[in-house]
Amino acid sequence: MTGRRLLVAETVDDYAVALAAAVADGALGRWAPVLGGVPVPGAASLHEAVVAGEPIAPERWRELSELWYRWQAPRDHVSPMRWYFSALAAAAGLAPGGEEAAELVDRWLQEQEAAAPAERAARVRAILGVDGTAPLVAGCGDPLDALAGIAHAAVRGRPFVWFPDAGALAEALAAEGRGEAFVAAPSRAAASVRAATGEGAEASRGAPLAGAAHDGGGPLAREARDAWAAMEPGERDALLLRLHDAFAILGPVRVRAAGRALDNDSGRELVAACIGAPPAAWSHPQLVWATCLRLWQESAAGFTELNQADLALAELQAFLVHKRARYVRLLGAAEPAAAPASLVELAQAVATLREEVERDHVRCFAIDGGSWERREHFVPLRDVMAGPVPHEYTEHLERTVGVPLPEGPTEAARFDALVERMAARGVNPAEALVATAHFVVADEALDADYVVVTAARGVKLDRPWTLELTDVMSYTAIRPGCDPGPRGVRLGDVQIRTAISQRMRYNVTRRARNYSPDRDERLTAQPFQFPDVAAGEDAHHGGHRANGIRLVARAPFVLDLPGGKRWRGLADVRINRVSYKDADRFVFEDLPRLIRRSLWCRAIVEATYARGLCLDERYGNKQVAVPPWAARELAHA
Amino acid sequence: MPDGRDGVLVCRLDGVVCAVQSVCPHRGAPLAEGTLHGAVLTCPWHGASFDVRTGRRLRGPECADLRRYAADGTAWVER
Repeated sequence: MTGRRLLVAETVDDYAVALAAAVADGALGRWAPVLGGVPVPGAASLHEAVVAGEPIAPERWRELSELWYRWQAPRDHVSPMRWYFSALAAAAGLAPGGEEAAELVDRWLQEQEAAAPAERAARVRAILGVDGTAPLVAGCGDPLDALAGIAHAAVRGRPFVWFPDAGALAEALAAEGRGEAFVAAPSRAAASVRAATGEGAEASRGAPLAGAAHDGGGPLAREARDAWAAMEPGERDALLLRLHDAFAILGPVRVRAAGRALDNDSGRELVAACIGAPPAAWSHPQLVWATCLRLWQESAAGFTELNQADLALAELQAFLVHKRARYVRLLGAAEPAAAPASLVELAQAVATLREEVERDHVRCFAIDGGSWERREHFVPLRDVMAGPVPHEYTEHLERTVGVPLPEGPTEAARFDALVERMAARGVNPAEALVATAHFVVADEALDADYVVVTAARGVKLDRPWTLELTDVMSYTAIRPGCDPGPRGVRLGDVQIRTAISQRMRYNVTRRARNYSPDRDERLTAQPFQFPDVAAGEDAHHGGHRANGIRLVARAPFVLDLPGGKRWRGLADVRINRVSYKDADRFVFEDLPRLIRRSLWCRAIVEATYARGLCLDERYGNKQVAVPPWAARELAHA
Repeated sequence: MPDGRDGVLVCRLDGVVCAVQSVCPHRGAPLAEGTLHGAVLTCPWHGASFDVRTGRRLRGPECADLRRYAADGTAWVER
């Protein structure tokens, strides 16, 4: 083995970490990672190597593990080229994940993306400072295979290019026309890596990185800087201020941009620093960040989808391209042949496509409360509206509010008639919302412990930003027989119901501030929400922890007012499970059922407003009594 | 534990014994119900992950590192 050791990795993550560590520590001459599952007699395992203390120090392991994690966000996909270029930057002595390395790697990635397949190998050779005789290592497909290819290329000091598809790979190999070409596949990859452990292999450490000189951050950076510079200073500053203000109200943000860690405060400061400064003077992190915010606004993407990502312009482009392709698939349309000319046009195309998708789908998110990561999902509208209103619900309404759901030509007409009949009997429509909350909490298909229904009561709707706590109704139903005490919740039912509903009323008043004409008030608003399924909701929230808010599904609904106004953020239905078990998490398949029930609530509230009525003020109070019929059910349980 | 603290979670990592505190410093989750992947222990509640060799938090919700323990005769002592 000529003094070289083999490193067996059990997983993709381990493999990548081991590889980068070997490159970064200059130990390529001694280490050759081998794909897990391939038996190699006498090989040290990755963990044995770690425990032995060399060559991967725990700190290094931590850094690389972090990078690997961040590079999977926001697409659950790591670009093999990003890993390869980062390893080259590390080999040149740049700190992995640092600003200098981030800018260089971003530039190389952009250049790869901009080049035709047949030209990409030449660009990598230019970076490595090797001539055309250095055989190309190339492949496409599963990143697992890419990692083996990267190892092979790095050990031999050869150029590596990973292609998006087999067609591009074939084009590149045809252009090579000679020499050795490595096409990655599990068995061949392992064989190639084994072959690379013989004498004569060249390590890439110390090789001149011909492309390392600063030239403006790559084609996307030039395009972005030019686009910002082309704007009138006043127009640019006004846009930056709007971006600053829109970002200010976002939920928790944790990202890295061009090697700089950013949260809500530092993100605001970074974009604020761009205001009044010419784009030519912006640092690379400033350019990436300002451009990121602009693309967010143009695409109307969920910004927090980027949480935990290590943002680069190339990654932002890939994120948008990925989104566009996904929307096109949802629409059943053909993939567009040509990419939009610029990042901004790409973002605008994404927004246009999403509008089309939303004609037949409900846009939703999955939320990880521990990391704030989000992933977008679309629920088909036909799934939401599938089937009639269950007769059990009609019977439940009759039993609880004294009026069954009347028949009618549409669901909205039926709820309108329900509210009419309730009003005629002197029963406030809020009782129908309360009854619905109890109906949902008894729904075995949703299997919720708590159900919370919240809606503006019907006052001050011409100026919703002036709403106060008592102007909002919120009611929490707890499943009969539910005892969260043994699951670590010390509060009793009354305290839980009071705390949750009080918080819901507060949230509505904060979201309503988005409509305020006063900028300072808007800056203290909460963002509007989409339907979502969330896990770990108590990870960063003491109130959630105390009340057992852990696994949640939410269905906010808009409210149409007489006269044509539509308000978002003033109403929703939420369900919660007091559990930490993975198997208890709500899934997207739960959302159609929940959203349908939220639409019943919406119809009740809108019918209330249409009659000039308000939801009962006692549901805007801190202490809300359980209705007598519900109290009897609870006592029975 | 003699000092009244929570218990010790012991795992074997390629033949080497690692011992860390058994409850997550974030929200007190039982780490024995988490997952161990290589040297990375992930909390079952909120996904905080730790390197069991060093006790260092790797990612997830911000919290303290894990306390590490070593066997001292018949008792575990903090390292």
